[in-house]
Amino acid sequence: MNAWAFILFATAFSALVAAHFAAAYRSWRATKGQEPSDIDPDYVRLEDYFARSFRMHVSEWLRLPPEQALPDGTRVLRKEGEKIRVSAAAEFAPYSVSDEILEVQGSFRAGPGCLFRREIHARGVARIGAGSRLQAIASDGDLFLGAGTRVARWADCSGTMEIGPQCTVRSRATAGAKIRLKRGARVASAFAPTVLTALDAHDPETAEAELPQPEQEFPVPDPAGAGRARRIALGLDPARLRQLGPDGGLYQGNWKPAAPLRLRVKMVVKGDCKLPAGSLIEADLKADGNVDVGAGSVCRGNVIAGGDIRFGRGCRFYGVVHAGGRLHLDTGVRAGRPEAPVAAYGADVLTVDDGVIVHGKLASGTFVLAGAETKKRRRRQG
Amino acid sequence: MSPLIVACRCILVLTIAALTAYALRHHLFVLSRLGQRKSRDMMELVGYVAPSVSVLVPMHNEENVAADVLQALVDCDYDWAKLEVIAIDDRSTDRTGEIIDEFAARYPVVKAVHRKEGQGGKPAALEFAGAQATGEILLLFDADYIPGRSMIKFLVTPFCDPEVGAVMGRVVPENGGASLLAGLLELERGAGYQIGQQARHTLGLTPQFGGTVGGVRASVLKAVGGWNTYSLTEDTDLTFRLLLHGWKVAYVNRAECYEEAPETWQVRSRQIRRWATGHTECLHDLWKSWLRAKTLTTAEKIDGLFVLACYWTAPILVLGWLASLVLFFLPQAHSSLAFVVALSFMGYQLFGNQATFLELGTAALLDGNPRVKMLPLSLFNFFGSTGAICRALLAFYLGGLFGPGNHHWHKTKRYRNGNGKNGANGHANGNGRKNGNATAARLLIRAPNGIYLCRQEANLT
Amino acid sequence: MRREYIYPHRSVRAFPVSRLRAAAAIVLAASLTAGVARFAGPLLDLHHRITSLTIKIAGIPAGETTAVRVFSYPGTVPAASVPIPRHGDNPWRAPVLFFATLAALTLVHRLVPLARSFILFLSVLLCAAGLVIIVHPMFAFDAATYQKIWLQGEFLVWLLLPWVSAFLFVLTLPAFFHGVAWMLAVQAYALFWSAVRLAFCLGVFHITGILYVPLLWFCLGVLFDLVYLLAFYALALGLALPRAVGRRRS
Repeated sequence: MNAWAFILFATAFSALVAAHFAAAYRSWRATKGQEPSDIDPDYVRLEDYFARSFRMHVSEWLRLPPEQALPDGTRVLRKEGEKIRVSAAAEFAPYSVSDEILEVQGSFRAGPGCLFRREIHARGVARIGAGSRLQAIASDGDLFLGAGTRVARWADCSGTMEIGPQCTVRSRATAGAKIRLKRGARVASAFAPTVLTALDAHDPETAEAELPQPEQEFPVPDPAGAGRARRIALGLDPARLRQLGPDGGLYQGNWKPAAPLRLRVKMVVKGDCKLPAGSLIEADLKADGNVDVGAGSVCRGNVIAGGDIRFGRGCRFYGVVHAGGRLHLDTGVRAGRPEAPVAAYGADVLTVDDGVIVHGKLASGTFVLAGAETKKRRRRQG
Repeated sequence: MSPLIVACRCILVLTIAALTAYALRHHLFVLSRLGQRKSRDMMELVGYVAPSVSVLVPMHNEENVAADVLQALVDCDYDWAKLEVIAIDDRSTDRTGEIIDEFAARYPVVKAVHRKEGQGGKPAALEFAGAQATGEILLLFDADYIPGRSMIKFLVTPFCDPEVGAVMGRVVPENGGASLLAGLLELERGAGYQIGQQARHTLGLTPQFGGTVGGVRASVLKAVGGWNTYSLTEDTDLTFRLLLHGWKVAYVNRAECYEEAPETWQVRSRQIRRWATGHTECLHDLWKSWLRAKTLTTAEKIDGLFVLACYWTAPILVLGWLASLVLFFLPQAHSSLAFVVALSFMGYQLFGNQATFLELGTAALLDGNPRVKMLPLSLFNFFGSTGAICRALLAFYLGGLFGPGNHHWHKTKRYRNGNGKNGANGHANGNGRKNGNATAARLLIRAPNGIYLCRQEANLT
Repeated sequence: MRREYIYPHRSVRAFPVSRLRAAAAIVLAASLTAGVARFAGPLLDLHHRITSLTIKIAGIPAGETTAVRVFSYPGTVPAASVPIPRHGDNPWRAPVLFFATLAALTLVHRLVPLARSFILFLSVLLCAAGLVIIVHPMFAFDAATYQKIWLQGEFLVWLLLPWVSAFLFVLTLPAFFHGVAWMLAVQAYALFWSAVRLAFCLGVFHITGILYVPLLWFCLGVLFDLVYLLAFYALALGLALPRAVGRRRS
């Protein structure tokens, strides 16, 4: 045996073995003492955070010295490879293209077919022509997005936002007063004191109807005298019902009461739940499957479903709604109150018919869709 | 064929089967997390669910960290009218009591509770203080945690679901750079939460309530009999009792909170031995009722057993390895059983273990954690954990033979020197580290009721 | 159009696996496994040649090539013939090496707390070999037997590795072709590195006898397959990280 050869080989082999751990060791040395993973402990959820943050940054950028000053008073500032154009009012002709951040210190108008690759801040009213494409826009007045406009990120205004037909806002739409969703408009989420779809002339915006007064109650007021028959009338098989905590019940299977119902306790349904029209739900309701709330019903508690949720015509809800599938708000649905906003979320598409008013937020894991297209879908589904 | 060879073969087959089952589970979790659907995500509802909350912070000789956690909780974005922070001085002999009294005097939302005697351990302290809590939801934080401003809102949101009895957030080690072990534990925690807990939540299985950075409904806690003050892992015990009674546990991946990971192997070894013993106790106490439970689906039952029995994989692995060692030296085995020997090595070494590392790697990828390159060094941590778990289970089962064991609560060592400035308020801490989002800090202002508003809104009110 | 540097919070990041990618991963893994099975003979032959070359470079004496049977398929394959001394040839060698190694392990055990369980693992292997030598001094473990066990284990690794690395690289790395490249690299490395490790083991046995046989088999055998797999995986992830974190899920 050649001892030296083997010693050399063994050394090289050991080095190769160590090499498998070398990168790991180097990584540890490099990250030793480093800051931990980036949790943002200051994070506070604000629905219009992006817009507010953008406005704040703009106010800082305005302190930059101008790179260019034009005779009409327009200034161009430079910030890290991007340009910011500051002007009084601004009007863009149809099919204009801009690669600059726009700070408009008055009203803003863009013709149809424009392309704005950077953010826009308008201190006055902003009107975007049909078919335009924007990065993001914040208006300190009202905001009108023409038909077919596409916003790549967020849209915000301090007043009323009108999202035109077939518009798309790929991130949040937030407004200080109202958001009107025209038919075919799509947003990822819409938040405002009032979010509404197209209203009929006869649909009042603020009137609150009386509460329904269903005859049946659950739990029954007098359990001793209730009997099996009564429970069966409620659509409950007693063998499948059990108590869940001091203030709730759990039902194995589908639950479809035959008559309008007043639900006074929390209920978890391990199946689908279909509530007749005119029901009054005073506590939280959850179904693993789908929830169908009949027309004219009122839900005071939260409504949660693993599947789809549908609120029938004229329903009202005052708690949060969370659907693991689709969420549909039929015509005339009202949600929340100005002083107590609510949130409704559908992991799949959230569809909103005409005449819906929500005080608070509509959000979806895919998109919120308003109006006529939903009728097309319903017709297709027969 | 000799009985020894037969016995070794059987052990190998069992080892391969058990570890392959866990490996498949890990693979499923990784796939689920990678392709995560948002159906159970409730983050869009944050801020719209606002029950009354009592935050319990048990402290036993926590003068180093007490100020940090209390300051962070006081700085949380939640309506003070619906919030109480109950700081529990649990038989402390240092300045913990004084510190919590100072906070109680300064902030009406903080209540100081002093416990001078009684059974040791965290569950006993929680039971004592819980009786004084008035909130619908009880949130728990260990003293070494630093919750962010939105933590309370994140954690209470899933309680809009009436089936949810408890909620768990995510724990992120803040001291991953302090030692090699802490760095490896950061990777391990990432896998456990980012992949394991999240996948179990998404798949409707059994996420675990971890006893900190989490919460439970007060009414539910009472309904299931309160805290098990004799358990070493009262959180695991509570999780399974909740599930047995028909409640669910929700996991909130967004609710991230810093913790201090053990920096030395001695501390880590004690921690993991406690977990192994506690889990195994729960397994023995609950497995029969778990299998018989009508409130659980088959998938939940299976996953629950995997969770409770997870520490058994260490001695199973060691047994399989010993059986391989025996077969290795038996000449009769080589001619026909080398296949089994080789397969067993692959089964429990390669295929089984790599699934765990797959979780570590995927979690690091999702987190963007540059320490992912340290993955090969995790093997040493893995060996260490295996040894510690085996030691714990040996003591547990031998203790069962020779009489009930004497459970000692060992407080996990704290490394930080708390001064109230390490937390969520964006101040630099003693190490000069800045944390927080400067934009948010400038944008926000706190209203008198504790809620954060935008400065513009605040000017209007 | 949308700004590229914006990416979602890590709690909602996802890299969904498309059906196409999953199908491609399965096809790749199946093809590699089939390829290994189909060309088992040539691959094992190549393995032997690398081992022999390494043995020669390392100055380890080797006799005529022998043959060992690696399962019924691929059957008999060539193996290096390296003499391994029995305990009886030099009765002092084993005890001296045993206690020296134990002393070294004890030292590491005291100095590196994190490695204690691993050291215990090695110690048990060492003691097991020591026990065999004491109980059965004439116990022999020839190179052919060792290579047979080794090749059986490694061959199965080569068959299963495509499936493992399909998961690790092809499904989880953001860039598909990078994943494929890593998968192929690991497969090639598996063969090469197995041959080199085997040569080292045979060299050590030639010098020390059977004392280190179980230790080296467990540590440098299939366990080390996991080590290099992890090393490759960590490297792949580390390189993919900047791109992955910057990507946005639309």
